[in-house]
Amino acid sequence: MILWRRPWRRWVRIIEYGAIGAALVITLAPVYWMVTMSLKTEIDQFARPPRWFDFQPMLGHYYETFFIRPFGHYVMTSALVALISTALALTLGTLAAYSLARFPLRWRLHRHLAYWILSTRMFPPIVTIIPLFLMLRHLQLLDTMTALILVYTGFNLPFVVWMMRGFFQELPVELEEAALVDGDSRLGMLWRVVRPLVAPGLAATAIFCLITSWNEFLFALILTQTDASITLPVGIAGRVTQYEIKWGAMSAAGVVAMLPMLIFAMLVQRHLVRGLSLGAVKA
Amino acid sequence: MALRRVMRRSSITVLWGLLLSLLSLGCSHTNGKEAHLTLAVNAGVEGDALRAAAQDYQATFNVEITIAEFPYANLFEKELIDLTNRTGAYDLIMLDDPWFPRFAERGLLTELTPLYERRGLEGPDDDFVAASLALCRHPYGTGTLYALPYVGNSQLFFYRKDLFEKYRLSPPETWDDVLTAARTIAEREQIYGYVMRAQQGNAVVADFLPLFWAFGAEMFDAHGHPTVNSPEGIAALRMMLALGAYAPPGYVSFNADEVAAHLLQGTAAMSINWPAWIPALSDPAKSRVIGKIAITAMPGQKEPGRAEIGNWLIAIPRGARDPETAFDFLLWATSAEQMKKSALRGNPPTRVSLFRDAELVARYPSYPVQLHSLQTSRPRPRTPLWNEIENAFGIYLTKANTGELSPEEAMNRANAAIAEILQRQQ
Repeated sequence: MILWRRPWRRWVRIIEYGAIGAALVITLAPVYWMVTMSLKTEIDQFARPPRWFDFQPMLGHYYETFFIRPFGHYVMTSALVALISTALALTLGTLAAYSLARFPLRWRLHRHLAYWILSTRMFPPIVTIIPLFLMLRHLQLLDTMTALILVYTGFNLPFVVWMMRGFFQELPVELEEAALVDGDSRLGMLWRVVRPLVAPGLAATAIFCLITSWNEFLFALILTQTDASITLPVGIAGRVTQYEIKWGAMSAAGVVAMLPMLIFAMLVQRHLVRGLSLGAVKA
Repeated sequence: MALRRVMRRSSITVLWGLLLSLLSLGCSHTNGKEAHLTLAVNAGVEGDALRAAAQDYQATFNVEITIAEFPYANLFEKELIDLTNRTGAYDLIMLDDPWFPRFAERGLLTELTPLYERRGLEGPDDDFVAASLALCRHPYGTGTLYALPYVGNSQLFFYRKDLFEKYRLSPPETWDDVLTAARTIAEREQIYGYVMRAQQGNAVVADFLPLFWAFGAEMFDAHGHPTVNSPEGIAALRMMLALGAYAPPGYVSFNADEVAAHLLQGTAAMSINWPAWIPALSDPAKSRVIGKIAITAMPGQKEPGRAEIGNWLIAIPRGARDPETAFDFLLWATSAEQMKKSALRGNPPTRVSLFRDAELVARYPSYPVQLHSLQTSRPRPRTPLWNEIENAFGIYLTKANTGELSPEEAMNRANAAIAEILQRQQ
């Protein structure tokens, strides 16, 4: 009731909700468009004026994409590659980050090392594609999931190292010393004491790695050759044919590609929020 | 405590081991077949037909076939990288015909005549459309055979016959007729008279070349010097811009997809397009103009109309692991019997007998027109530099269509750009 006695507050509220509404429309409109495109026949997709709501929904594009074409298989490949490369990057990256944060080297070498790791992200990835192609060919790894896992792990590593290094540096070292004094090993202490403390950071890093590997297109396109290793983004791009763009199939696959990331983000949302506010309360 | 720690540690190791073994399982190829072929195909109706053919082949012969399917936009670079590096990844590749000179010139393809001879054959039979087979030889028409034609596309002219009848217009024979019809229809109906692909690059060049040739222009003179800025060339571009006045707004960014959407929605009356769209015209899920569109050969002007050819070829990379098995499949897939199946899956054949096949003509009434169009078609200039030249030419054509450059200016600059590309390579 206090609200109504101060009319300016009401206006602030209206503006607030207006802004939230506008942001929602801007971010959700493309998603809405994609979902409806996946349910429309071609005649409705191209109708003028556009049919936003009044169309006969049908699942034909999903059927064609996932039952006639091997998109189910692409989803599996993408999932395996994304999960394994994320797990690898997190394991290796976290250990590296901890070492860089906790074990200073002579002549500040640990800092140079950290920058050296970061430098691999400073050039556009496309410049490495031909050397990588040749190296992987030599190792006979072209057209395998292993190749993609190795490459994605490599690209995610610097990010993991830098993200996690920041989290470790913020942790009070006394906690770790206490655990060591109590007789725990270094790795045991990392697992039992440090891991729960940096869990929000791990969640945020994991989601970033997952999204990059799941959506990666360029390397997948060059390094894959057959259905044995083709990932979902490459499969989706394949629906742009010479004379026709299969909007229905692309949207259907796009909707399915979006879902796992959406679900995963919802699952780790709690950790993410905690991760963001962690620094704020500490002061 | 120690035991628990060891157990936990070992369980993590086991987990990793499990993941890695899963991976290697997923990667290993297991087959009980004698031979194995990998085909690089174009994503789309052309590749789909070859994919289906490969499944039939596997069922009959002791050969296992893997299909590698790529988007049209990436197939060229993909094949070029793999063939240049001799990865041996592919035993057979599908090529869009303008790419062929590049691959042949660099010696990346296997000669087919020795393979024919080993089977007691002289070469490809006479049933292949001459214009299609000519594309498979390097140099064009007379040289060594490096591929066989699989899909016989050539451009066609689509127009709304109901509106032509309504306004007593006769089917367009010249580009002047097209312009008159576009004006008449645009003035009296609430639709666009003409629609074309004017998107920079391949699209705009593909839609312009038939006009360009009809006006008597040529891209190169007898010595190989570019001549796109000839008076005929400029007149052709003027015609394109005149038609553009009756095209939907934004046509400068259109590709085949948008052009077809306008035709299928009944919002444009005429256009050039490729045979791939013919089945959609009579599909109720895609078309609002069922039975209203007629297909005819390319209009002429000074010269008789000639469509641009755009065939899909199949070739064997040089250094392929098993050229004999690959060639057996190639012969089988391009045989009349198998190509008929491909035609029923929506791909125009490259064999004269199939264009005249009663069952196919009943299904695709435009086949006689398509055969005529294919037989009289012209290829894009056969040069290994075509991709670069097309790109440069396309940029200036699009600039003329946006009004950024006058037709003379655009053609002069295009000519200079093409001359520079040729010079650089010398």
